[in-house]
Amino acid sequence: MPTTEEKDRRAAKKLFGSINLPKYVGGLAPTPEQLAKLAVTPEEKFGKVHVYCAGCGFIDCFNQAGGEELSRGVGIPTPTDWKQKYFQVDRCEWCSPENPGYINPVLKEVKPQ
Amino acid sequence: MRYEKSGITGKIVERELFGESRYEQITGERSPEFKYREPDQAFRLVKEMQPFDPTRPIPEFAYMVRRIIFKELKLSLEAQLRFYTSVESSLDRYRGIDGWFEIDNEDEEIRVTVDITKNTDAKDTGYKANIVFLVPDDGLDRKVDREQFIKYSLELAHEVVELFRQQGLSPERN
Repeated sequence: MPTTEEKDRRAAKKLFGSINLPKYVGGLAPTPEQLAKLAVTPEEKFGKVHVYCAGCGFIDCFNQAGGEELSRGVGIPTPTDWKQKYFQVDRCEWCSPENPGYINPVLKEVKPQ
Repeated sequence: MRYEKSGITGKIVERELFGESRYEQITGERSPEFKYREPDQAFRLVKEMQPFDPTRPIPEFAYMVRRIIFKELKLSLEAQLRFYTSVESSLDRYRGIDGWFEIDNEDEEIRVTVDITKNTDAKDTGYKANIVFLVPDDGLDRKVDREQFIKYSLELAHEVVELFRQQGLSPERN
């Protein structure tokens, strides 16, 4: 017997369609275009720090609290300046929704060319 | 947030056992979506994952509602009015938003968010969309009941238009 939430989701999917989630590939690295984006601090309204997923190649953006939480996950002090810094994870909530979380985060730095 | 290095916390286990939409009810905390992602970013992400052209949605219902809104607002450019689905995204799971209509208004974009439900008691997530739209329990299908399909399309379209106007959209646009 489907729950109320399942019924609602089915109805919404039929009437509105559903998003295309990025597919997990694994072992990806940022393209030059993505590196250029990762090197720049996000616009304030979108957040403070970029997160690149090596599982699907997707770039997300977190606020200061998200940056602090990811820093704790890595086991490093929170950087005072996010310029040219981003987090890389092996999987994200988008390519691995069955296993939500940010797996194996690492803080990376974009080196000036 | 969960990390492979830091292990699974009790709260995450609860989240997985009880379903993400009840995360806040169970843990008494705001979900990671609220804590770590700005609303503008949440909407921007979902825009990148659209399965169709936002000016020509594939689902008949969304297409029909958008057409009615377009005519009611007397728009001339298709690109001015867009529909985005957020079903199966974090907007859907944590904020109860299944989709939204968006229009350019001078220098800004204004949006009206919609939550589709069959539950007459409505949802008590505390984070409702602008419109919580109740649909019949046996669904909406133009091929099964054309009149009903049109009636519901008109009803949603009128609600969206009204909310666009409440947000400062002029009654007649060119």
